[in-house]
Amino acid sequence: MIMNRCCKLNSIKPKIWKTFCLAVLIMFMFISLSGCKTKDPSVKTIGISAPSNDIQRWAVETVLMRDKLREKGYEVIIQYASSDISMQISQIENLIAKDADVLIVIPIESASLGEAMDMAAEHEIPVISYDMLITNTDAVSYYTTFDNYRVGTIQGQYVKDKLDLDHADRSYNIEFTAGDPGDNNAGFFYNGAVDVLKPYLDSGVLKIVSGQDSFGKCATPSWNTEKAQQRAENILASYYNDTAVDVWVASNDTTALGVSSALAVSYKGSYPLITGQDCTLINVKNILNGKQTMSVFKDPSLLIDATVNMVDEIFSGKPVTVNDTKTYYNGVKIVPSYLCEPVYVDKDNCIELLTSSGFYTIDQLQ
Amino acid sequence: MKKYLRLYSTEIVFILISLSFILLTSAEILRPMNITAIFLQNSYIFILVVGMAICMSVKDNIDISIGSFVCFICAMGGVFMSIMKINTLLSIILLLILGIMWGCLAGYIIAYFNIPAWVTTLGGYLAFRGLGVALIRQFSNTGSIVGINDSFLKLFSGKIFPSKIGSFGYASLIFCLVLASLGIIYKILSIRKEGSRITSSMVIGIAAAYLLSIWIGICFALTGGVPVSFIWMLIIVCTTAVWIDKTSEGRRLLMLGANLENARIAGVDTKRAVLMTYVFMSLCATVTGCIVLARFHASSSYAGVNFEMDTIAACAVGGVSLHGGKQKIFKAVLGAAMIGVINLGLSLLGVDMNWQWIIKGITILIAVTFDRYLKKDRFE
Repeated sequence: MIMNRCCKLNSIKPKIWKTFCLAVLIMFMFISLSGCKTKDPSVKTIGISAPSNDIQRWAVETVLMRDKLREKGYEVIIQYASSDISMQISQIENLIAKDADVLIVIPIESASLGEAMDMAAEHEIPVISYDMLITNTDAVSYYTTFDNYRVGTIQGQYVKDKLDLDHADRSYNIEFTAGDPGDNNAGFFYNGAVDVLKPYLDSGVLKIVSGQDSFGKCATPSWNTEKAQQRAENILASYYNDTAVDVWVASNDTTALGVSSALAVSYKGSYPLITGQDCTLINVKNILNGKQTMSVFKDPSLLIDATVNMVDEIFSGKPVTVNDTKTYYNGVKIVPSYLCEPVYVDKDNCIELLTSSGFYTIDQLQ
Repeated sequence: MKKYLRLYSTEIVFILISLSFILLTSAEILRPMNITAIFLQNSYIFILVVGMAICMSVKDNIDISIGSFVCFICAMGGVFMSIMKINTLLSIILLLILGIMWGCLAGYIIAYFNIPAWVTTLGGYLAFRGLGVALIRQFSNTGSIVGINDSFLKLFSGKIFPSKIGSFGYASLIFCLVLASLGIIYKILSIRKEGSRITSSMVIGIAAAYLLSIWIGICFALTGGVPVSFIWMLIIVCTTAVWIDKTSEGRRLLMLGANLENARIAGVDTKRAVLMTYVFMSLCATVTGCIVLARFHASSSYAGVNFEMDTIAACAVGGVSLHGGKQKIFKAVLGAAMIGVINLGLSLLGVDMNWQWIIKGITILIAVTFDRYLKKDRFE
């Protein structure tokens, strides 16, 4: 009661205040439901949802993608989720609310986009999963990535061609370093390489001295350079005191870096053939210095072109070009995929290939 | 002027923030889908803020472990349902038991060993994040556990009274109207019981409440149904509001207020009451964990990141007193809505993430300062 009396003396009367609130509410409600903005249907909107712009790769590629889509007359909205999944789910929902006609999504974590994907399905919006496959939902329409199995076969083929294994007059010692057991793609890389080299492993032309001949034994948790180095050092110390290692198939550049560091520390013989993947700057420099032999180059502009092309085809009503309809099972359905072709880079073609695509400038490589 | 506005400072700040985002987004934030999004995307703040307001009602109490605890609950939910194949109902019961256990433990340490609340819950903040991530790593090598029961997903995510996009879901609107009517009948009955008369200002308030529920109902009807998380939010907000306002247990809890010592001398078992607030807080966090688990459709190590910060921010802008004492659940919920509007508005504007943090921080500081400025002479 005392409180009430104070109100009457010192504050707006509740009645006036409530009337004011009611008026504000009516105003908001009126704007909200009068459908303040209708969208021009001739301009199509593309929503891009990316994990974070702190990760250089996504920052660069999303901007390139935006520019290419804008050239074609699409309106583009990019949202970066700061590596927070709740945020990414909300952002995808907000992109849908902003009338996106197609969503291009790079998931932070493949399986956890649940409700946002349900909402996209509800609104019948096609979702293109870019480079990382969205799993655990049937809402994902297409997948664009590099042919990961092909990455492995390119590494295997390079080893086969350089050593001319078909006409080998001696046997070669080989070791493998594979990727993260938690990464769906790591198995593809390893198997691609092993499948090419299998006949020679069976015939004895290639010999795994350490005997570590399965993905599980060769795996490197989190693609970690130090872990790859530790394992390589252990192998060198145990098996290569008096014999030479001729080939080291590393699935990617961070593990290749570990291997080459181990060799620099605890190996006296001549450098073996070392494979890699991704063309990380430090590894490209190693290739130029002879500390690594090759790396597989996955030109992001190819992936972007394929994705932009896919968006075009979705709107034109033509069947969307895909080149793989059986490999990428996301736990619910097989996602039609477009796989881009990777190429190898070694000392001879490195500078030309990497600079002409604009991946690195000539200054960076010097 | 100032002294006339002070009673409604939180509401004024809310209206100002809403207005500025309406102008900045050229009213886009008011589109029905975005109104739905405020509830759908921020349901966690609405639920946690209720628990936090109760927790803070006793002087110097706070719980910063909730974000990590949400992550832990998500992980355990995944382990129960996906790995151990326990059915939905039993899983939920087990999760609630875990919630009660942590609430008891934290409350016991704080109340009976006199360890400061923020230190104790800091322990929980660190331990549960680690535990959650370790569990997920243990049972899955992809960073998330999938295969959550469908019935669990239906219970904590998605929509009730689903309607097709583009059509009008009358069921959702009617549902909201029925809820509003029930609430208003309850309000009128309780006014009658106290023996007061219904004044014209009450009629205006009732009209506003009805209008609000019609608006929200229409928004839900246009966007495919009532979000399940909205229902959970309503259940928790309403039961808590009734509990602390109408029951002697709840009122006793708030009576502890700013001075535990006085309450203790007056014969209240203050330690038990403090313990109860933590149990309640942890139960709110458990429900939030279930909602997040269902929203992700998987238990993920990223669940619950920064939830405690959003919740404390909502409490701050909602005028929840950090010194204990009587809390108004309604104001805390308004604070949660404010954080929701800020989150959504910044996302709609497409502001760069780092700038979003900066703007959010500054907005909260201004909101709290303005709120305190309006209220100032009440404390003098």
